[in-house]
Amino acid sequence: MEQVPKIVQQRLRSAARPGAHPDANMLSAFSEKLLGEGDRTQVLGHLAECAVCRETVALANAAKGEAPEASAVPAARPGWLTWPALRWGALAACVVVVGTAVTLHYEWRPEERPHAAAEISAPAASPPTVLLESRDAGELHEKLAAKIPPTLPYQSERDRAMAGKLAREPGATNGRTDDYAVMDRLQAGRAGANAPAADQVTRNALANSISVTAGAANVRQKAGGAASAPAPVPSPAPVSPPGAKTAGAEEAKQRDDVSKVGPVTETVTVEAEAPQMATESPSVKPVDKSAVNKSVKDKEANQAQKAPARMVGGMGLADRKADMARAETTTAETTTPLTTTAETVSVQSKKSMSRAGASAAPRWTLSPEGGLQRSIDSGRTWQTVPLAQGVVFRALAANDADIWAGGNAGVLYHSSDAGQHWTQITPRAGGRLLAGDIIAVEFADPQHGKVTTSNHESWITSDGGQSWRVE
Amino acid sequence: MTNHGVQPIAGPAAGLESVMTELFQKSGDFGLSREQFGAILNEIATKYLPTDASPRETAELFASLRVEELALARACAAGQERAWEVFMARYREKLYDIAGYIARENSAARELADSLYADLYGTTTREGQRVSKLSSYTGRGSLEGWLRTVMAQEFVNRYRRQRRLVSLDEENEDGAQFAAADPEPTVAVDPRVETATDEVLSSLPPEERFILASYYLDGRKLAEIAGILAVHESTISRKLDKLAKSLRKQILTSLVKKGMSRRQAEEALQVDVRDLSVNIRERMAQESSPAAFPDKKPEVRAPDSGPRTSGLGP
Repeated sequence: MEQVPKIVQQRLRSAARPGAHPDANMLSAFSEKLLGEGDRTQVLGHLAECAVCRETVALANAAKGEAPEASAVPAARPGWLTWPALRWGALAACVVVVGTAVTLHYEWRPEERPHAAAEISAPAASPPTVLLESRDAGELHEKLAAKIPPTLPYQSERDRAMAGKLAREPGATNGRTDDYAVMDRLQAGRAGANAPAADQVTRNALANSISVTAGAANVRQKAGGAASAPAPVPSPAPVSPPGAKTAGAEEAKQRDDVSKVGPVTETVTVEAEAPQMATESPSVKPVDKSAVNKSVKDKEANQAQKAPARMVGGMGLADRKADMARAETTTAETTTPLTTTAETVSVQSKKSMSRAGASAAPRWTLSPEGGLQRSIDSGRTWQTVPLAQGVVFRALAANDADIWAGGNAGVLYHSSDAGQHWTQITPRAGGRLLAGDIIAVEFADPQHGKVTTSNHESWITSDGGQSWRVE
Repeated sequence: MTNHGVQPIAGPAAGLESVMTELFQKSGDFGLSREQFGAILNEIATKYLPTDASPRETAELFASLRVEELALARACAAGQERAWEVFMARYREKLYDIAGYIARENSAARELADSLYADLYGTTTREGQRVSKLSSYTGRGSLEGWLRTVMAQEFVNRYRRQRRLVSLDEENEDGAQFAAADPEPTVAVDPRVETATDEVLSSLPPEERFILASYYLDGRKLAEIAGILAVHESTISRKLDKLAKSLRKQILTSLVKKGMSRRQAEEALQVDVRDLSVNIRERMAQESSPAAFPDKKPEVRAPDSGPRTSGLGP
């Protein structure tokens, strides 16, 4: 600790001309941090000049019995962790560790991408269905998961407007109204003749692969006729547009089949965000079409909820975790055997939905000053809930949407809608009111609970606070 | 039985009947009437609020009070038997515990607790009425915290009284027989240094002056200061480091403004002979066992003879 010049100590001592001493009420309220800013500053100003009151406050504080051990620690010499270089060093080490973890994570993902791109690009020379038949479906699934971008970002508002225009032109996109088709047109328009043909082929191959992943049996049946044809692109439109009629009948039929499972591309898009999950699936078996359609609907609903966060671009840690959870769900559903029923898929979707709902439930805590605080972002930030002025809350019970908060002088608040509305409860039993400080609140369910006060009373309710009895 | 402290007073709480009724309901049943309780609140508002305080300020003050403990204390002061029963059940053991923490010695602790208990009960009389110390509790903090503070005040007063009456025998036992007065070295300090220091100190916020006084004058540990201000120990450590640096810098700047050169200002701060004594003490503490005669002042040499040395050092 750096020493101040001795003259400072001398002047501090000689400048001490304390006025009237604050009474014990003010000093005890100061020690308990119950004074307002003005009163606190006034008391501190007096303490700075009055050795007697400093001694009194220090003795009273030590007598709290909370920190007699702490005061015995020789604290005049700061510990090694208070050395600034080491503190900053610890922070730097944390940053390095996190950075390394993130880098490793991202390095691990691109390892598969060139591999997948090389293999999937092969159909530029040979029909995609050959590739599809020669590969194990699970392996294909892996590559698709690594290859397909998570979103289809439009590069400008002009692109977005153009996309809308193109989507309205049935012939121009061969009836495709999906985003991939629109992006194809946009990229072709932007890059002109320089646009890599391999990219188009790869995307076509991807689209074909997707259809095989979702309904491999159907595609295999038609692979012979389409073996030499360019890879068709899945279309979500249930009815083939006029432009589609120019293709061969076989191709049209195949496209028609594919169109029934068109939205499955959305499922794969989700998997693409967590390839490590997809690689864990041993093999992908064809799924019952009805079940797939069901799961697709559920996932569309899920993705509709999460779309804004994804379109932002950069994913935060929480988003990544959520996506990992989604990928897990999706993987489980993709690896579902052929006998999986639509109901099972539906239940899984509901579970994932309920998990998402649970994570959005607010969290509750009490601040050291006795304020009630709520967090709606899993504890990253906390907002104080202004329930009552001057009340120091000491006990809290949160049971889903049922929140109880108890404080000094018998103040008890209850909310049954996760903090939207609060009601002050005044427990009364046999003509007596609960007046002591509430130090504990326990509720096993919304009806049955116990409130303990500082004078060792237990107030029990079994009807959600309507009536009470004292023990 | 007395009614001290609960006489009805018309005052700032006159327009807040509903608030007072609500608080009265929360105050518990210790034998106080609503009128008595209202008079207590009036007395507290008169004590802490300015005369022109708005009803809102008054209501906020009332809401911040520990009304249940306030009613208990005032009912005890008024001699209500039931209140005394509750008070004894809640605080009797705590009183002795607190005294033990403060006095650190059993007999002294018991004596201290008994003395305070007598004051709380009201052994003194004023105008023929028993006066209880509990009638001065206003509910701004907890009753237990108030009891701690009152006991600490009592202990400090006793300690100061005893210190003034210390006998020569005790001085002998302490190894300070015929101890001569130990004057500070008479060094003429440039008045500009004093003025500059006073200016810088007075510009500090009260909290920082409190930290400086607690650490440098009272010799308190960081953890103790942190406990009083309810912050972490490292916060106090950081503040002290920062304060020591900024104080030196500000005093130097002030001295330069008062006409000193930078070098003169630094010398005026560095050559203070009392700084030399501090360094020599630290050195002695490191190089020898605990001193048999603590606080003995070392000799000092002229400050302009190079590095800081003393006749006792190597």
